[in-house]
Amino acid sequence: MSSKLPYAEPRVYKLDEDLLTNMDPGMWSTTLSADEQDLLIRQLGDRGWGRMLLFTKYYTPGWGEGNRQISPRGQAAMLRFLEQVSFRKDANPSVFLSDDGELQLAWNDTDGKAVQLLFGPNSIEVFHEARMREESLPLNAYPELAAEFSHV
Amino acid sequence: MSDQLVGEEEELVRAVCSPDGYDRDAGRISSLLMTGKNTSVSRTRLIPLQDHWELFRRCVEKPDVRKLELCATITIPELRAIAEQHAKDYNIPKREIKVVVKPNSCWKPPDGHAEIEGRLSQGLANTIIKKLHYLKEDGSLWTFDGVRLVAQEDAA
Repeated sequence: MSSKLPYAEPRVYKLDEDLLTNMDPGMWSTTLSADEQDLLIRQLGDRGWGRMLLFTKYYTPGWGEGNRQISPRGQAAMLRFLEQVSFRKDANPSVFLSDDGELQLAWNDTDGKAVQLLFGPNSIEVFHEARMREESLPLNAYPELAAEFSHV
Repeated sequence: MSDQLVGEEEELVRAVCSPDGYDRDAGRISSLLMTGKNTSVSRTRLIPLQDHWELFRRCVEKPDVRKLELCATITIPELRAIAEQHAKDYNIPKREIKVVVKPNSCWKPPDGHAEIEGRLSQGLANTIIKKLHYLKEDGSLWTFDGVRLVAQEDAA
């Protein structure tokens, strides 16, 4: 019998460059910390906070018709966005969960037109109805998006 | 073996569930309802619309906190017309709408289940959800005006 313990040999992990530069490497789980919950309450109200708690706690892999749980990278990007954005006072944004585990922030601008940001594992998909804008951006574009969509 | 296509004139049904696809307190429906990938739909040609409440509760209300709120219907010709107009409005290539039969053992009959192939953009899906016909279990009809659900005056 081998005297070596499992995984005794050093393993080399290489983090994706995006994670190295933009995300906390320890933030792999989608469980929400107390600070993150405070952020959700502040930005999305009790309603949005409650919805995120349901998504993170109950929407396990296979929910619905075999759908995916929340993407940790998508969630991290959305939370970073929420840290920096200033929503218009009456924007009342909603948070939704896609079949692929992406998180969508959706509200209506001052003209009642849709603004939707979809945070996935590899990109942020932007839709702004009033500007007829549909675009896919890298995850690290959240600061620019937060500036652009503040007070919209 | 290639997939069997759903009939050209068929009506499709989509379950609208909270909290993932519907924010009940805000009355807001998410475009994710129709983005995919491979959006699951049901066929009223094989399963009567009134039978979908029991079917969707049995097949899609998972986890327990997920609740069926509305059934949304649309025909394939309507979907194609929306996709064509959306392409013109946004000056982009037209998105072909292909609906294929995807037998699902939870459906009875299994061929009552189908999928809209591929992913639709948020923009196209946003236009579609404003054209869907929404039905509550009490028989009332609703529309989504882009901001919130609105009751139709001539309810069934």
